[in-house]
Amino acid sequence: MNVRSSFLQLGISWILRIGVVLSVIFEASGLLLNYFQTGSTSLGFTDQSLWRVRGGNFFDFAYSTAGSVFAGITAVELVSLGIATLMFTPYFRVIAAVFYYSVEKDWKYAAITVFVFAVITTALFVF
Amino acid sequence: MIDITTALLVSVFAGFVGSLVGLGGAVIITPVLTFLGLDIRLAIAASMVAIIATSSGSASSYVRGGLSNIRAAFYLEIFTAVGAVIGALITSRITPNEEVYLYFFFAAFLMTSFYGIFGRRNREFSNVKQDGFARWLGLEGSYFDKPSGRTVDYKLTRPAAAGPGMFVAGIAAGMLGIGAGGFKVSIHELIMGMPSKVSTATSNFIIGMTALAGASVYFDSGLLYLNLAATLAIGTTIGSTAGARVLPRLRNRTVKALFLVVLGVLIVQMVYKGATLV
Repeated sequence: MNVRSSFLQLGISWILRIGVVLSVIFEASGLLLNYFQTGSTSLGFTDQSLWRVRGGNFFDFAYSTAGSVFAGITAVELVSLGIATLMFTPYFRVIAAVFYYSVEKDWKYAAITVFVFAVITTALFVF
Repeated sequence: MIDITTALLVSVFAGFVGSLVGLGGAVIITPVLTFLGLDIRLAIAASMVAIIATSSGSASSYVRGGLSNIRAAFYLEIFTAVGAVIGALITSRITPNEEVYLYFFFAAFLMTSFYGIFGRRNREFSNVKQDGFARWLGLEGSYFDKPSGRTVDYKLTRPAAAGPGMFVAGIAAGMLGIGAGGFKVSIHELIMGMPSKVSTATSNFIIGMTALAGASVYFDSGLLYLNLAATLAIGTTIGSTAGARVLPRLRNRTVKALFLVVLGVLIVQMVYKGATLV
């Protein structure tokens, strides 16, 4: 492993680590809060459930989660924040790679990572 | 009714196994939760989110330890990402009759992989001759192999042939709501000559990005329940973090043997899905 690639490895590793830790903290806090409020550990799946995501793409979900967090924290919002953080983690790792390869002027891999970033972003917006 | 404890236990196991053989764990989570009475569509939707947790949980260790080959991962992700998008489109456009052929095609693809990897099951390290395109892409690396106590340098080959294979893996991921790690590991090893542990670690790195593209479909479907997805994500994170500590201590042939078992399960699932649609 050369020094340059170790910078990328360390950077991506830290992004993954921070994303995983934060998402687990948010998700576990939300589930625990729900348990203290309801006293139940069962997972109910009804159309009216507050836990059900009701449509839109991922960015809609992330945007509405960010908006509702500022309005006040509930169990559902904490868990939503955890899921959004989790999903942004691989997304940020692609952005970090684009940035790294561009700074290093490794245009071959800069182009590859930009293409991957574009496909994933399109998928997140379109579906 | 499935409760948090059951979902957590299943996902810890799935994350652990997934991190050892390069899968996201949906191949375990979905059938087990369905067997316990959960609607399969809800299980698939939540599993897609859990795959991302398996990937991030294990890849953070693998990347730092040099086991994941990041260049190979991004090059191969070009094909998988496009495949995942097309797979998701196929799912919404084709009839169940046409779908049957795809399931049997996936099963045949995996059976060929099973045969190929079974033939190499006792090979600890592979020595490949790098082709020009692989050299141009800089597809090589090294990692410290704990069981043998030495640093292993390796080179990869035939990236041009691996591309279409990874495209098929992407289609499978998009269509079936899985990370398609079984497909990816097979291609890494059989076509590119990747050492088993590097293959597992690189697959774990890739599946997070592929699953991200696929998971978005489920936000709009009304099938995603955050309490289930979060429980599974916590479980797979715990399992994959533990698995990531175990993998470096295993020999490549042990990883291959584990992978063959999981591949066998995956083949049965594909044939079963196809057969139930006939």
